[in-house]
Amino acid sequence: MPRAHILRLTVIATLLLVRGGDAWGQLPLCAEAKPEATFLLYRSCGGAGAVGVNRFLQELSVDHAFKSPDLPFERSILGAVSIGYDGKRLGEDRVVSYLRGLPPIQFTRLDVSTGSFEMVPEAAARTATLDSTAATDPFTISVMWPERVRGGYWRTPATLHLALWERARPTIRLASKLGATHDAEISCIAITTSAIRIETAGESKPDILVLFDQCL
Amino acid sequence: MSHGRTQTWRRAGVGLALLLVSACSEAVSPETCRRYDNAALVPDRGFSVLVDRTDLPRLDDGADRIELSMLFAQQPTGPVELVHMVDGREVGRWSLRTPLSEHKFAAFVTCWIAPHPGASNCGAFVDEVPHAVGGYYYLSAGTASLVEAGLAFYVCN
Repeated sequence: MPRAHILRLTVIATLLLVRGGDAWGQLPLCAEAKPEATFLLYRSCGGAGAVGVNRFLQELSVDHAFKSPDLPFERSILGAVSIGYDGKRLGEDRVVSYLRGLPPIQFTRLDVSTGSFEMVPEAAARTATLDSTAATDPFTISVMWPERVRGGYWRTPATLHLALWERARPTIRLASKLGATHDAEISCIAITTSAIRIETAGESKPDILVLFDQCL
Repeated sequence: MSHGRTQTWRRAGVGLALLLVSACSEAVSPETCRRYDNAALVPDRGFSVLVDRTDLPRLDDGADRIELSMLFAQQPTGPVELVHMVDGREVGRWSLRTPLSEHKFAAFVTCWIAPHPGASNCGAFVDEVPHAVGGYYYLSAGTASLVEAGLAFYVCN
């Protein structure tokens, strides 16, 4: 059986198991945060973040909706994580340089709303520990990629959910200069024009939330 | 995690935001508004969906809104009509005058249907509050060149 078909069947089976029955393609993939949830929370003020996310989602929608389903389309991971950023302040930050060197994420459409994605990092790039100097509070990030990063996505014109399959998820360790560390296995990423929520595996792990607002 | 460590990670989180999304504020606040992405409205299902949930907060005031995001193959020529039904009874019907998209083809439009006319951008608003958002939604007009739509609710405490 062709590999693309196996991937599609995996996506369908998973979505059916998770969501059940008749409207599987219509429903989001990432779980909602519980009302009492706490987050590693930060805010993006002034509208640039929301504008950038909006553009990212629209361009992705065009590729998803109008390109041939048999032709995967790509996004660079740096482009995906730096949406809304003007790029000038990033300079030659090591984290940015590292992300720039990763291969693109390949998206394969399944139906109007869903598909699968995959990224295969080179062996030498699968583990890295990097100091970021571009941030206001410098930090060190260690990242570990599986051999293949894989998952399913669900989208609308204003939303993108990236759900990572188990054993195909990246793990990160953030270490601040003050000594605190935070380990996380990334299980789902929900991108909207209101916020980006990075869902982490494990009940005790707080999700990461970027809010876009006017900060008045 | 102790309070001090939490603060440290909040600061680190702000730093990450600066790196990734050009955040310009170090202020930390609880999540006072929440977006509920509920469904994709797709042509295979007649642009309809059942929001079969009872745990969603009701639209009341302030920044609360229904968000309908749409992708058209071509610029729409007439209004889009969104209908909300509960137990076979119509509880909302909104005729949405879609603002012009900057693109003639692959036109993106997002309509906000809020309790206040001033917070609604497509000429329709929720006229009775509180408005429970669960129920059945469908698009009854304006779907000729519609490719897909997304339904979300944005509710503030």
